[in-house]
Amino acid sequence: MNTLQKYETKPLDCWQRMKELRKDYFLSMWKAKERGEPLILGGYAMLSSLSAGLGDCGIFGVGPYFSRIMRDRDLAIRCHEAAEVKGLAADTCATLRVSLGSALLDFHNRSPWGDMVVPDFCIDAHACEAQAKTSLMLSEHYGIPFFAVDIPIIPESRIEIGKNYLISQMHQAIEWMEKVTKKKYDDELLLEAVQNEWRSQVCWAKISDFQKAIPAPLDLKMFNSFTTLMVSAKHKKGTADWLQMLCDEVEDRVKNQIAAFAWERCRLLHEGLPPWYNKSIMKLPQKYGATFIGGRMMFAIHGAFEVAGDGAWKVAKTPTERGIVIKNRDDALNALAELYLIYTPMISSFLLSLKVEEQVKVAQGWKADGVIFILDRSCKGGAAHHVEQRLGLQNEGIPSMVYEGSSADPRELQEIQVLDHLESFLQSLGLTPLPLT
Amino acid sequence: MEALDKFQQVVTERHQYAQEWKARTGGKVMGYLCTYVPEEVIYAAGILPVRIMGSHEPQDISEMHIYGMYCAHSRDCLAQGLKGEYSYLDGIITAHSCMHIRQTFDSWRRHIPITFSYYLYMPAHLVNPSARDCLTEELQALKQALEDWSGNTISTQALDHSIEIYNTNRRLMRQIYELRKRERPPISGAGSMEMVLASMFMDKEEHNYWLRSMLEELQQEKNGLEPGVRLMLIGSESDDLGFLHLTESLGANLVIDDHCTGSRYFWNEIIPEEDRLAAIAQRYIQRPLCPQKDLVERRRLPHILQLVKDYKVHGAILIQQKFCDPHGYDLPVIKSLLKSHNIPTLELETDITIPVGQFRTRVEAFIEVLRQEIL
Ligand code: SF4
Ligand code: SF4
Repeated sequence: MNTLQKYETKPLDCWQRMKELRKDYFLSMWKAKERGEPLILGGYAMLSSLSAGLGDCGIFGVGPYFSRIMRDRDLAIRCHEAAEVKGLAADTCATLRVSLGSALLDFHNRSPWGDMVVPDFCIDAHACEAQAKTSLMLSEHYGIPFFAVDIPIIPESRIEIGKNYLISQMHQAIEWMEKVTKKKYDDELLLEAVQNEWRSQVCWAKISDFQKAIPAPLDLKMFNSFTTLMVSAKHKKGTADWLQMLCDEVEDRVKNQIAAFAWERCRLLHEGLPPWYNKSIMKLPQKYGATFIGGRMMFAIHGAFEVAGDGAWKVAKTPTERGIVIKNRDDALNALAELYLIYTPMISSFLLSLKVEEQVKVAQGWKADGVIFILDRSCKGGAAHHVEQRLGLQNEGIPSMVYEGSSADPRELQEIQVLDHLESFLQSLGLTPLPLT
Repeated sequence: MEALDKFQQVVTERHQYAQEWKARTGGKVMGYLCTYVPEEVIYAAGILPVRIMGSHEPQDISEMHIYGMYCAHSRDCLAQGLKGEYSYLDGIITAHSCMHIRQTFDSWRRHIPITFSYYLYMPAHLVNPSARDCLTEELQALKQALEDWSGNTISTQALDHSIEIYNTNRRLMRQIYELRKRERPPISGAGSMEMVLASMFMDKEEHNYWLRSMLEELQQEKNGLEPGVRLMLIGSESDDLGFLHLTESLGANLVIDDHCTGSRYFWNEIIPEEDRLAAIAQRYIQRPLCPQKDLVERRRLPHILQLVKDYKVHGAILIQQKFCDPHGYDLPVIKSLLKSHNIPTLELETDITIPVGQFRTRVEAFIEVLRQEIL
């Protein structure tokens, strides 16, 4: 691990295109009402195809300003405090609390031109306790109707029961959206969106898989940047096409040993959502020639994988690649249900039954030298079983460390202490600071 | 009262009770972690379902498995298993509920030897029209799994018998709760909770025997407790009897509750249907919701308000397990609902143990304010 080698590194060629897409989606969201298109609140990165049958829509997601809030510590704290004044405890989901807080502060829905734009309805996939609970509060705040699609967390042996339940709720959701918007639902658009959503997730899995390469072609910060598109627009053709472009480029980087970090000699995984507002935790390891190449959670959240009984992952194939023809609404909803219940490890691992095994396999498969867990007080879904995962790694002799904090509440992070701890951990791996830095 | 003594004894000696039951009947004992587990199906297989609970004693054994920012109840339950207190269990089961208790279940399955562990999917949005079919199918799968494991066939007659016993149990406890509407309730809040807790640990048939005797006695009780401030207890899992005794020792009567070691456990019965499992599913759909299940409609609110009216509640204690996020989302809404109906509230946060001195001061002050308002 201590041998020094400098790899070639260069920015992603497709980065600019991602920025354009993000801007397009952002603008189309704010312009939706003006264009007479529905503006939709909620979603949280799942089932975004469902609304596609309504035609063009503005996807509000959890709120367009999350990244901006995370870059502004004071603003983030004001959002949390606004939600707390309403009685929401500090151990509720901080990511969603920020969203609610910004709504209470009246800028969640303020367009860049100063208009207050009210979403038409809220539809949300509920897999983690926090999701529908927060969406309900947001819907009440805006006085808009709310539909929750309950994602069944069910063992694989009885997945058909869960699938039927989910499909039947999605049918209800479509009828409900038609009623609420008075728009005719177009199945052709749904079919296309489902293909895109699948393509996007398979591409995400592929780029995650490419991270096994030494040197890693990407790093965790880059994955963070890609998530914006995945959260509310993975069903769009533009996103799926861009991810394909990214995939091709990453494959090329692997072939040519182009690294995200030139001095990679130690590979780290970060488990749990990284603190969005903090840059130094991601940066510090580089001083030692270490880099965050990703994390089980980051790969699992948007990636489509086949999960084996021992927790090992294999990039999944899209329905088309498996010879499945999606002909009608039933087929489309079936494909969507399978994508999330069977092929998205983030969802299946809410059951916890394979979460430890998956963690060990990811650490081994991605050749990680160490794993860093954030014990996130305000993400009960993601942080579940981190302690057990750590035990699992210990049994396999894989070093790990934990730190307490919150992915979205800066008040919860003792930065100096965490950095000290991280530095000691890196030293315990036998690393010394790079001579060049 | 003999029945209450019996319940107190079972609550204190819950492990001994289960072990004696096992020795006496030769049957299996199944620990369950959430009151959404359909005990009727387990009981119909000749298995004794007992709820796994914490001990409210300081511990650090669970820290190796569950991060301290998950609720004390989930950690305390796991600690009991790790300490071997439940070594007599033949199996464990949970129903889909919060992430906290899901960790307890999975860590238990991983680290404590057990021959049967089962995760039942219980839809989170129980009010959705599709939930009934889903749950009925889940119950069919559970029935099959129990039959395979126990070697006992769960016949229709066995299900009917079990339903009858469970319905009787719920009816009797509800009748006893009815008596708490009296100006001078014949039973305290702590006594009522002991009755409910005992029901979670005992063979329901035996519990029914004692309930009948208790009901008879309470119905004839002329005096009852001193009339005074009438409180409701609303919250997350809260079986800390010490806290109830403390509150009632300060001159208030806890007359009703909405939590899962109280009314939510037994409030509604199974309405018979040709398809027994569908009837059981329907009962769990209809029961007073836990916040993890109340996703869209806020069905908890009218229910709580009805209880406030029926039991002539003066004030409510909102008791919250520290770090319990499902309840954390509902509390602000419940608080403002009660406020809009002029029902003052006191919020308290509990951990594995409670800070007695601090709670005493706060509860005392709360009761005092209410007393002045009533006068
Ligand atoms: S998984 Fe974490 S971030 Fe996501 S909704 Fe749940 S608590 Fe929030
Ligand atoms: S609902 Fe609350 S009290 Fe009950 S197990 Fe979950 S977190 Fe703990």
